[in-house]
Amino acid sequence: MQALQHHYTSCRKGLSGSAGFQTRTRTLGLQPDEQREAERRGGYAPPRDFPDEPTPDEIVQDFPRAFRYYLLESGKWALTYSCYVGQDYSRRWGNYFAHTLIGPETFPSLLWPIDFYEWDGWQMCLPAEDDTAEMPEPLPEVDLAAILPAASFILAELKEFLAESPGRGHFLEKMIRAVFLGHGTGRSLVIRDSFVNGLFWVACVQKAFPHTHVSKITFSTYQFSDRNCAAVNATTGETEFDFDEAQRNYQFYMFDFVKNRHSNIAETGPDYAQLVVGWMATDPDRLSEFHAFMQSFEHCGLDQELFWAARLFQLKNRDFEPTSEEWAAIISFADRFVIAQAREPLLEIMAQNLSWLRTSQDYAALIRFLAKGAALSGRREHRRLAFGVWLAMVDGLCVAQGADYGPVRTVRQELAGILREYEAEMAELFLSDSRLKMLQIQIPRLQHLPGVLEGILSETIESLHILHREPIWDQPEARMMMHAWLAGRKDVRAAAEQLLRLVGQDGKAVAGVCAVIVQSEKSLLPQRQSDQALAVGRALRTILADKKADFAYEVRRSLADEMAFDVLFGEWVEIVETSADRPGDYDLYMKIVQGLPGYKKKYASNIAFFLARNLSEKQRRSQAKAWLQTGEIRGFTEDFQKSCIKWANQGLSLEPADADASQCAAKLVRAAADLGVVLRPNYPMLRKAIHNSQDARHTFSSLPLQLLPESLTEIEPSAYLAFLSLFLEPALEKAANNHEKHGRIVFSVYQRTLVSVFETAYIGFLEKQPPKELTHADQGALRFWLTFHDDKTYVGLGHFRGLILKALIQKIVKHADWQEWLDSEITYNWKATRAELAEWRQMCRSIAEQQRSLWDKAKGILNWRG
Amino acid sequence: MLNKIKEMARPLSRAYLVNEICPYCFEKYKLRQTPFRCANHGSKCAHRKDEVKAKVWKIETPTGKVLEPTGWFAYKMRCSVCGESSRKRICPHCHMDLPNSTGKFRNYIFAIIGAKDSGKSHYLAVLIEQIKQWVGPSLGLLLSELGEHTIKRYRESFYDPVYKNHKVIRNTVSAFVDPEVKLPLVFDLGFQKKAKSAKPRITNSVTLVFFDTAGEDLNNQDTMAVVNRYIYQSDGIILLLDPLQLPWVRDQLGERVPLPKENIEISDIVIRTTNLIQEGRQFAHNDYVPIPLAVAFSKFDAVQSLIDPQFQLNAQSNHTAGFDARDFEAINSEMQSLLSAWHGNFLIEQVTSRYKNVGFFGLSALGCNPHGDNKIPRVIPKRIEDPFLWLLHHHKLIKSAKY
Repeated sequence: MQALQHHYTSCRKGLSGSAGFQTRTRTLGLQPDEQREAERRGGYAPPRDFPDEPTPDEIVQDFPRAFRYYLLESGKWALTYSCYVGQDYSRRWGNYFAHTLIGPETFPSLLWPIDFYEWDGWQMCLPAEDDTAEMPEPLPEVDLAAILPAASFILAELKEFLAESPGRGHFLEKMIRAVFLGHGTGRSLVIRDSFVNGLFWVACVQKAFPHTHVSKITFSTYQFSDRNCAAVNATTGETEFDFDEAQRNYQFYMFDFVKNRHSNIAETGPDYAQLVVGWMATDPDRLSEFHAFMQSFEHCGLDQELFWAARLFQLKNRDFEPTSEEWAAIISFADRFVIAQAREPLLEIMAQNLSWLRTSQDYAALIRFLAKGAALSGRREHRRLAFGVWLAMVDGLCVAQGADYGPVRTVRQELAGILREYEAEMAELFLSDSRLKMLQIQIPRLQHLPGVLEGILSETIESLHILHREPIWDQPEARMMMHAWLAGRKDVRAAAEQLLRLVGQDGKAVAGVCAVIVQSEKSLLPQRQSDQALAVGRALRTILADKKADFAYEVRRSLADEMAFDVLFGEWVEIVETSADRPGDYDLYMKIVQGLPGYKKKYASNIAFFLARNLSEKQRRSQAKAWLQTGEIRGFTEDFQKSCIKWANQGLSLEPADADASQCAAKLVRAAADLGVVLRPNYPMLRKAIHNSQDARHTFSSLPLQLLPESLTEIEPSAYLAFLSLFLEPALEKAANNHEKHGRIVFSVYQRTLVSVFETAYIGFLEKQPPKELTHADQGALRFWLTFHDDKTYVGLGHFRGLILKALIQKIVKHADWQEWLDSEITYNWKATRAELAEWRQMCRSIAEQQRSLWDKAKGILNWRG
Repeated sequence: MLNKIKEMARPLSRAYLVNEICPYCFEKYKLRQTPFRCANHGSKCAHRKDEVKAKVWKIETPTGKVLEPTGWFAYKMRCSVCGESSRKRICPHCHMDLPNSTGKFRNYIFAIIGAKDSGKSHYLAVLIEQIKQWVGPSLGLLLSELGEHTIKRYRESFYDPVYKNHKVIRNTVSAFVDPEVKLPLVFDLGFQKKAKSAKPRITNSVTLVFFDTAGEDLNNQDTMAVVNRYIYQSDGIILLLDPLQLPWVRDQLGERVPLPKENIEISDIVIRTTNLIQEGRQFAHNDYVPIPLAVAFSKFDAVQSLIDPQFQLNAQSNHTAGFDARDFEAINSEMQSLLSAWHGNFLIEQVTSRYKNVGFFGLSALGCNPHGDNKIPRVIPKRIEDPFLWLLHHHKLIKSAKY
């Protein structure tokens, strides 16, 4: 590695062509910008309190040398050795000589800039005999490999320096912390001491950091100006630094050993500074090892990561046990910064001692790191390390301690992601005999840890998948774990659901696992097998709910082939119980069942029955009519058919215009006849009565009045009212003024248990008659009710008679001509009895009196005839 | 009262109308565009690295927070972090603290240039002291440093070596090496009016900005363009020339006087300076440079033997009643004739043909030649204030003496 050189001083002749401060000479190839920067960085002013006109000996012995390390804007590093010279060619004071080495972008390996301090090639002045008017020769390049590191600053020497005076270690810790802080705050570290001590302080600070970090720690062993400081600055005597409170507290981190006043730097527990100073002060070899160790990392920032690097180093030497947080940080550091070549050895270091891994995060961090390493190296033994730690996580954390399996699963997925091609290796390890034996022993314990057991079961199934060991549910490992899973579970449905979820990707496997559960020995599941099947079916419904139709079909087909109809029915039970649209779901389900003929044949009635049981009354009647209409009903059991006929009858519409109802009524009548079912009430008959009453082609004689009383048996009030509202009016119209026909109609439809409904319907009929016309129906009604006296046969109608007559007479007395005419009719044509006539006349008088106005009443009382 | 109102209104009008020039980076700006720097104590408002300052001046020391301008003129600004008001105005381009006279008084920038060893630093050191102690009081001028930087730097780098340590000032380092060299020395020049019955009162002020330059930085046109930009922004140039660099003078003096090493050609600096001004101000080649140029021969005590004893140059100047214009005319003529005699006609031609206003002066800052032992036993300046007063007179800052 070669470095360029640069000389700057006040001389007679240099690159400017004239006398004065200038670049005297440099190695050819040095760029103008680099030269300018070297000139700027090489500036030197002696301490103000040093002699103005020192002797050459004083200069050599007493004057500080500014040895500086910095980075050029071009990215190259530079080392400047700047010395006071005293007088220049003109004998004027203030001259200095700055010799700079400009290296490539990377600093020589395992050397620190301070190691170049004692290079014998540094030029400290321009000898008078060389300061001529001749243009100086260019400087040669310097072979950096030939430069020996400064013996004064080896770690053993630094240890001695720290030991020379008590408290130096403590100060060094603070200085290192100040370097870290300064990186963020921009406050430089300034140390005022004797020049030699300053030199050692700088060396200590620098060597406290690994070689990889030298670029961040620019330094100056003597700094005069307080403006353009390096990260670490030593100074001596009186300079531009005031060392006042403002500078000490806000502008710099100052350690003034002259006046013993230092910046206050907080101590925040164990940190990098404490660690490295400890090594430097007591065990330099350990620090040296740490420096070498850090060659394995690409970290060069001045941040907390360095602390984790140091902790990792301690871990390697087994003199530190991290907490979970520390471990995460250490692993994170290693993972992000380890160089490719160093990752392999680090894998072994990391996996060598797992005893202190405590939490899932501890394991996860390590496994991730090992997996990445294994992926990069591609070596089987590294993969085994990663898999091994994962298995240790399963066994040590979950099985032994009962920890949550979730993190294990997450890590497993990450592992699978990183080492996708090697999943078979992992599966083999997981299903190895030794592990299975261990798990078998642990099963009673695992049964109390359902989460863990589920995880292991899942992993078992996944591993069998990976190893293509089919059918999975028949593999002994799977059966062992499934039985362990099911043993003693009271909630079979939940157990089954979880189990089915594990194999949820493979339809045949789902069906197979269903079968395994149903066939489980009684010792495992306390329930009856049919109950188990039902529970499994219910679980199956949950599993299939979010699956595609093809998958669900495959499962059902497999179950049907295995004659596991109870499971399928269990699914239907769950569908019905959870459905928002049961009839709709029934239709869909029956389409599915069409493809499963065996199941359909055996379970169609059960399916329909279970549906009917879970429908509302209205839905049930509607569904029964549908079954009747489609003929599905024929596939049901006889009892269920009878039930369906009854429901269909109850659901039959009385509306004569409803064609479907007519059709349904016909089928209903036939089906009822076939199965000997007596329809009560007989809606088809009621429909017929309505139809005949409303049809003008039918006469009064075609009304099935004699069948109506039986047909109306057990009719509900609402249906009764509906029937009367449709039937009564047209039928009574057909009776006209024939009081006998009128009466037959009334007697045929009258239901003594539903008197109020009848009253409402009949009164409604009368009110519909035109008020200014004495209709035939009015006349028929008046005559019928005036002559009706059979209270014993038709209980309740007696009371009703009075009401009707009153209503009729109220209409009649408003018209004197009607009253007269009716009086004559009743007397002569209707052949009313004396009592009936008297009743008629009495009621007419009474009602007429009630209808007289107050004025008329007053005139009557006064006997005034106006 | 009226004066008070005027004083307050002046910055307001300037804030919107006048382009100020930063005495550090020489970029133009308007007062209303200037940020402020939080002046609160670091414990109350954390100091931080000013990225702009670090980039331009390589000053990375944490300092007060920069309070960005609102676009409206403000006398002060409140820090958003600590709530403290600050009057510390900074340049919007380089973030250097502007003199507190910014916006109130006009800045006059004076450049002191000259070859290496021509005595620029010594001239500045003695001139300031001479104005403060002697010339100022007699002319009613009060010169005082503006800002901590000027106080400290003048004291440490100029006054102490000459007046306290009686030693030659150390070489001025190139502005490339020490950016501080680029920072000007800023003074307030107050004009006193002596009332009959009352104490003298300052009636007007101007801000004087002096730049000392390392001779090395004038050796190259490109270097000058980078580190000496102030030259073409200046209101007056004092070009110090060392007569001991003139070959004829060196020959005449022989062994009698310790001679400095031969340095750069005098005319080279004039050419570079002129070119710099022309490029910087974009003048045509044949345009006269309007900046007044005082061509001053320093170290005149060393060439005393070569001067006719009858010359006015031998006498001390007397500006007690104002700028002595008659004396200036005499000195100007004598210096030109001397230059001509010393085979320096080329210099006369060079400056008179390019500069509109040129004055020739002879002066001695120290009154002795320290080339032998670098010691200054006693400072006896001679005619050191002449060029400076001539520049002030040119700008009508002082009146001519009436005799």
